[in-house]
Amino acid sequence: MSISVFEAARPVIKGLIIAVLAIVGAYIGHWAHGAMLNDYTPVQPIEFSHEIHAGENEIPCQYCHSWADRSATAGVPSVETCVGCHKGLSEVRDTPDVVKLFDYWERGEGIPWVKVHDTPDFVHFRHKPHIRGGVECQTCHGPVEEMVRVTRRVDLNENLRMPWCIDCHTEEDVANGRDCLTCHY
Amino acid sequence: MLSRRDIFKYLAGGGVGVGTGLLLGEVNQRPLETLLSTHIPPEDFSPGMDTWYNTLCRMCPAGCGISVKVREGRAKKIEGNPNHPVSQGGTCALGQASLNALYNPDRLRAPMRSDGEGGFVESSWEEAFAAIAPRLGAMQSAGMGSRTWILTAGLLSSGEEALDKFREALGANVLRLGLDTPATELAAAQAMYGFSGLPYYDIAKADLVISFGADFLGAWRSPVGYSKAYGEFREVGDGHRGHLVQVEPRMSLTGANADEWLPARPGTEGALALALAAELLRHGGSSEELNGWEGLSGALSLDEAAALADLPAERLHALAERMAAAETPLVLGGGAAGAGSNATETLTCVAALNRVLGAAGDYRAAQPGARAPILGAERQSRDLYPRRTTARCRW
Repeated sequence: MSISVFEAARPVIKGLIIAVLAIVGAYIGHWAHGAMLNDYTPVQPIEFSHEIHAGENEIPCQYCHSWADRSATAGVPSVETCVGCHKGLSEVRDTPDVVKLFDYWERGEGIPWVKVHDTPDFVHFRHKPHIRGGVECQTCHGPVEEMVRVTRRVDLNENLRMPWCIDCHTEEDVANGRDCLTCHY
Repeated sequence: MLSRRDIFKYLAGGGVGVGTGLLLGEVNQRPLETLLSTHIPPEDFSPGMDTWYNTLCRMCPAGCGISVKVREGRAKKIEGNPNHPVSQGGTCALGQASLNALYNPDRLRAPMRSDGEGGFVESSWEEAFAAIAPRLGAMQSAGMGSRTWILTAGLLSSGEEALDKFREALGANVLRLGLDTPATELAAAQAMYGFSGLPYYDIAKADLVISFGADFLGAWRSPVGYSKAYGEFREVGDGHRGHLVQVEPRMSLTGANADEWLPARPGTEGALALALAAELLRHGGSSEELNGWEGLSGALSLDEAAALADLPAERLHALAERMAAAETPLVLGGGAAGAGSNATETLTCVAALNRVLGAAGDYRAAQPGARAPILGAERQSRDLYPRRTTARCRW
């Protein structure tokens, strides 16, 4: 009479296989969500096209995001800024999104843009030193001038994390660039 | 080996895993935030940066200088303005809390009109002007301007001038009402100093301060300014440490800090002050200071005043001696003593005591339109608006 450990362990092995399959499935599901079901490209209240404004018409970024070189935040332009140009642009006045813009203007309301790029609350990212240090906007934001609807690209999303910041800070030999308190304060 | 049943089991396991993964991805996603743009940005609008505005605190009539931190067009924090003469960088709890008044949901933001049923409804300024202006005009053209009353609390500088012009144009009267409107103190100052305004008490250089009800460390007049002056008054570096006597029925913050607390019966403060003045005059003082003021004839003796105020007579005698010996004594009146039915008389008597002590200085020189008389030791020499120096730290 032989005693087979393998025979006795068979149900356990079966259970293990199911568990491994479930874990692998979970990884696949999580990845699939990030790749396909993410909201890195949120729908905005007005279908504002950076491709037309920054691309075709070559309006500089800081014409509208004018606090980037002065403040922590780049800022979104006021409705007044949009209308300032658009009231002289009668040829696009009747397109649906410009009509929406003028509706906001007449109601006296701001436009609730949806944030595309956002750092967690424990990270204090400041635009000013980066812009003054000569970092291109596209380095972090991607080629915005080619985007109709602004997107946070998946690879950027993976990259826009602390190791990515630290790599650049090390490469550029930023003063106190590797100090925790430079960003976490 | 691999049964059909097993394949189903493995597929189910994998399926549950994928579902869990999708769910985890969804749950772990940071919620989307909105970035509300401004419609027309306020002046100096700069997102992400502080803008500081210097202004005056309006939580009490003292008017301390404050700096307000504004972010994205909203007031966020209040600090004292170190360059302001009254507060010299200080603020009180009330001033710090004034942001809560600003953002209070019950704060009135528009004119309110009575709805005739005991309630009020919001109306626009246009409606309010349209309702009031014709009636004011009719009153004025009918020669009944003097029957118009403007009800207000204290306003500041230009507001006060605008009010004055408005009153003149209508021929109307102004009735000042408010918790902090010192009507009795104004009346007493008018009676004793011939000045329509409030005197400034320079306690910093006094060596004896007797306060009749004035809680100047708590809530009276200009707590931040007086707290600064109190620090100088109590300074011990050069052997000068002022003696503080507080006369009031309920122990206030100032009473708790005083060297002597005299719980006189409410309403008897005036009689006490007058009795002390008479006692001082009896001991070599000159009534010339009082310029024939008749009120003095009603003075009680110290013992009578002590009985009236329910105080031990020997404490009053000791106080009178201390006053006679003091070099730069000063008497304050207000607060509880300025709130009874005989408050104007009380404060007039307190002012008379100041004059007997010689603390009232050049009150006669104070003309209408001149700045308020400064009562205290170095009355005319001390700059009303002292610069802030670090030289005061002597130890």
